[in-house]
Amino acid sequence: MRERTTRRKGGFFLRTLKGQEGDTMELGGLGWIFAVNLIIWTGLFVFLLRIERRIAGLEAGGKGR
Amino acid sequence: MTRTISLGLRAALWLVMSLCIWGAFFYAWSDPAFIGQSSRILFFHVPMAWTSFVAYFAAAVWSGRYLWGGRQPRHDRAAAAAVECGVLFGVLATVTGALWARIEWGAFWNWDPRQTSIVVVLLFYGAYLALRSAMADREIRARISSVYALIALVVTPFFYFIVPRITDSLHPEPVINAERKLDVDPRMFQVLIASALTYTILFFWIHNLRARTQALADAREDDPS
Repeated sequence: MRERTTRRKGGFFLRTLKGQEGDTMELGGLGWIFAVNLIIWTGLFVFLLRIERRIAGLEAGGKGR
Repeated sequence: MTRTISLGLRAALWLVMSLCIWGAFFYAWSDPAFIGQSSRILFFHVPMAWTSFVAYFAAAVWSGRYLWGGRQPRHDRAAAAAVECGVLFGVLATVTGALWARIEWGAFWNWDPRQTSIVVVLLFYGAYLALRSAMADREIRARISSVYALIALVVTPFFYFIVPRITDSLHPEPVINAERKLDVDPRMFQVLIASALTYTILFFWIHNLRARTQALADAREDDPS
């Protein structure tokens, strides 16, 4: 008899968030910590890009944006 | 064209760092020797400490270039920016280490040799920044700071790599342990190396921005109009 397999619900992103231990979308779980880390890193990245653009503007003699 | 390549490299940095964050939580195993998931802080704490050392080393290299490479102000600015970045990453490493210590040892601060040695180095470079801010003349400031940063390069490796190995410590064994063997799970090692490299690249980007900002500030000071 063919064994019934359980498939995790959700698309690739949600399945990834659930990760290896499957309890991760609870508040404080790995999925949440990953999401918060990603948001902080993306925020820092955008901030650095904006600073770089502003410095380039000032170096070019303008006021920067 | 150059702008497209530059943006592409930055996008690659974002992607690799995001992959490192993903790997830290979902690819690498959680070490069962530690409470809960606390071992995962390794992928952030160790690269931060590593990057602070790279920054201090880079500061010494730029200081040497200043002293023996024609006394160019850009080398002094680069050295100062590297120390600032090193202090920033050093503080982050100390804070993440203290958070981990609270979980594992029950207290944020334990006067462990490794905790103490990184703080001694932070104080050493804090003094560098205080010394710089105490001198108005740029040339004298650059010369004295460069000598200080070179002397610091003798002190820093001692506190980073030797003190924690010659004293009894609660701190986990380094990745390469006292017997010079790699003592870490392969998946953890892969994420750790990728993370350390990405943090190093991030340091050079932040450093570049800081040095350029200081160059603009100096130019404005020279010509206020």
